[in-house]
Amino acid sequence: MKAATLIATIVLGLTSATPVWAQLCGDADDSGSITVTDGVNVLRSAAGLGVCDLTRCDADGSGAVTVTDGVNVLRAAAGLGNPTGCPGGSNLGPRRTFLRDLSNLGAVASYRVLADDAVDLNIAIEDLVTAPGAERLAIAQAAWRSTRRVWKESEAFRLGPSETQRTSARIDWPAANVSQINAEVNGSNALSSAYLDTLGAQKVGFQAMEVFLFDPVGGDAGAVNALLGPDNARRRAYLLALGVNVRERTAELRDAWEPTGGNFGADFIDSGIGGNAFATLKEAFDEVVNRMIFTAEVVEEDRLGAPLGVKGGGPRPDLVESPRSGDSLQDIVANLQGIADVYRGTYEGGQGTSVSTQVVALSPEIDTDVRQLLDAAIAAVQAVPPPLADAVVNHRTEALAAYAAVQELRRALTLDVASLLGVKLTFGGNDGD
Amino acid sequence: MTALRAPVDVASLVFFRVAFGLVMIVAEARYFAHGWIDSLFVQPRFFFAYPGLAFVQPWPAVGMYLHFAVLGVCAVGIVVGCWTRTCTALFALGFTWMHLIDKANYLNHYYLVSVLACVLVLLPTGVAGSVDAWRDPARAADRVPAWVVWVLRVQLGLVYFYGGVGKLNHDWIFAAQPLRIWLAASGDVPLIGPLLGQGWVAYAFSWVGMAFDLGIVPLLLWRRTRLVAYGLVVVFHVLTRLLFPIGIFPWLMIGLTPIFFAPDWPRRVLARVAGAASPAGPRVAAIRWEGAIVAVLAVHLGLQTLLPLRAFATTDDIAWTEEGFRFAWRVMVMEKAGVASFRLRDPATGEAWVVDPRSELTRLQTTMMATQPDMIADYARHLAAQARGAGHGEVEVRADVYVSLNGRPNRRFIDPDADLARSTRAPVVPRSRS
Repeated sequence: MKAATLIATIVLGLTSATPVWAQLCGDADDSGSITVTDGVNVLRSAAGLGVCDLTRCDADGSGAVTVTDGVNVLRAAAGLGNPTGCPGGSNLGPRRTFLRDLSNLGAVASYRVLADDAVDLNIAIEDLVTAPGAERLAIAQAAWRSTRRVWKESEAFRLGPSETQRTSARIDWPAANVSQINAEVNGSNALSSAYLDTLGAQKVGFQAMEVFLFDPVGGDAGAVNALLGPDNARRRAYLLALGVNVRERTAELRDAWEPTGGNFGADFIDSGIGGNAFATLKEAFDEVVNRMIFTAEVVEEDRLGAPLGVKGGGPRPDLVESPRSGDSLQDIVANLQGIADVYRGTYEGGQGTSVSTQVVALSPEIDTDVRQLLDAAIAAVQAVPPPLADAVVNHRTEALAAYAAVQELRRALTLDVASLLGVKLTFGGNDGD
Repeated sequence: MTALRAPVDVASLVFFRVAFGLVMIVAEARYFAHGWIDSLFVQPRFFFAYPGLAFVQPWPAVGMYLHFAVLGVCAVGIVVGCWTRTCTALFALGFTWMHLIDKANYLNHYYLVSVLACVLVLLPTGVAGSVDAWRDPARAADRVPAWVVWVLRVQLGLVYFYGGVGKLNHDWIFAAQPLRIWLAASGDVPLIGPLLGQGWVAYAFSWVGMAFDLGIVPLLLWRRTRLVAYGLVVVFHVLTRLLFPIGIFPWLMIGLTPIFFAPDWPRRVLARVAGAASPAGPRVAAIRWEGAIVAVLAVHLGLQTLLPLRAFATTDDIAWTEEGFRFAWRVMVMEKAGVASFRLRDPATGEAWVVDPRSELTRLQTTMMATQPDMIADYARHLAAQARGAGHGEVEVRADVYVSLNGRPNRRFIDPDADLARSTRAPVVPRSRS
């Protein structure tokens, strides 16, 4: 019976205990749990009536103890969330700290830049459609490129609201269907952002904009001419609606992550301890690594492999992404840069904990390899003479070298990094043993 | 021999049968609940057949659902002891058939289920605590020959022992791999999570796990340590269940290991709980063809003893080559992942193309194939046959396969120059040269 009691105690302890680190951030009096007293102590500290350590009381990681922290701790005491933003990270555990940094320094900061850039892009398009001209077209093209670069970099951590709300499909979905877009232009429906929301993904977003802003045959003059005059009023209206729509969708995505909005970031960080994003911390972490690998795979197979025709049948230049702007190689570099940023923790909002942090703890050799492969892949793509549609035919050696470099990177992420971190790549799998 | 023929209480055999049946009910229910019938037997367009067993194929979709429903009914029959031998035989046949459809689905604990079910068919498990005994008192019994209980003990003992032998390798002992990887990934486990990323914990788990597998059987057999040993069994398997996705295996072992207790243990526990002792009666189970059954089981246990050793005769790097890896109780001894693609060439026309196996195989099949040389060869032959069906002649099939093992950087796994179109096992590039 003693053995049975001991076993029962251990099993119950293992299955019912709360993670120790989850109790520390917000636990101002270090009592082991978050209570109203902690909230009051944080508020007193914010008002200068006491001293509280940032590692326990800076609940939002802002660098100071503020009234907001007090409110967050009181909310946690009432069972409404878990403060996890306290600096130091060690109390969160390495993987939750990574999720925090990816969310706060990566996703939230990137989507803010994306939404801001989309506002500038919208303004540039408004200017262009108001008075089409070469100079305004160049400004709009530059704004399109700059906004899209931010988007392409963020694809390495495309998870959560961008997928569940399907905003990613509305923002950038390859490839635009030019004939369907022309059919809309030649139709009679009022072309507004609201109307675009009813259309398929191949008629909206960055790729649809590209149809209007770039003309591979007529050049910039052709693109401007296609917007001039009363005959092209509906083209201008379509482009204007696209600008508004991308601005709205990127703002929607940003707001979904913002602490003052949908606050997905908090749900993401709190995965497994009250957050709704993922059932466990492992699921959340695995999703991030899988997303990196998926991005590398898309680059390898769709962005480079398909146009190169590596599976047989010869080159297919028509399969490059961004065929009108000739930006395919920049897109690929941005995707790879996004992967590198998540791997290295060089986020839009500053340096943070990274996948590399987890890898180096287990194998410095693999970490060094992956860092070198990331640099090599980016360099190999940059060495391909643009545009990619031409390179897959006329500069195959360089294009194939880029493909091989990305393939090697993807292999290292899939086999070395994922295996080393115990990341599950087979979500539909059977029991293991 | 006399001791093995001596009648012992049937109670622990009855408990074994009921525990086995209960876990099997859960196992079959999990197939329905997780959608595995569809993902493992309906969706795949190709199955990796075992040599000589290509005729073992899934039924059409509804048939597979019925198959699992029948297995569930048989498991209920085993629990309540209704037409016990028939249910056990049907279950053994059905479960083994299901498990042999596709090499990609191989799991050690499913192999154990098949083996146990087949053994149970030969044992008089329905003579007590069963509908059969209630329905036909003339065939009911209170005792069985001791060898009946010992067969099950030896079978379970071999699983633990060879589980421990599988851990006697450099990575497990000196690098604490793959536990170092797996434990670090379980950092969110309540209470002990923060400890799991530390190196010394991985070593502790590795060594303790190995000592457990190698030492638990003697501890269970010795009466003075038996209770503590069973406590260790429960703690060990609950812990592995919390840390790793190993399905029913922990519950199966927790439920079956009490067979090591004295054969009358359920009766004594019941007596203590109910407050009244009821010793086993004198009726001994009549076993038809007992001599033949004993002989068959002796051969079976001999094979069970020798089969796991075959790998040592063919390779000194079992984890890398996976020669003799299946049916050897090498449970959770490596973290291995691979990626594979196939290059085909028609020598008659010079046409060459690349096949990504993911375009045909399921994710699980792709993952399992990429690390197992015989499955890589199976798929290469299948691709060659497909090409012939598409109008090509005898094509050449070569594989680019890369594998990482226990946290090492990935290496080329299969000889890229070997034509696999007629191969039964893809030639592995030794780790030292890859």
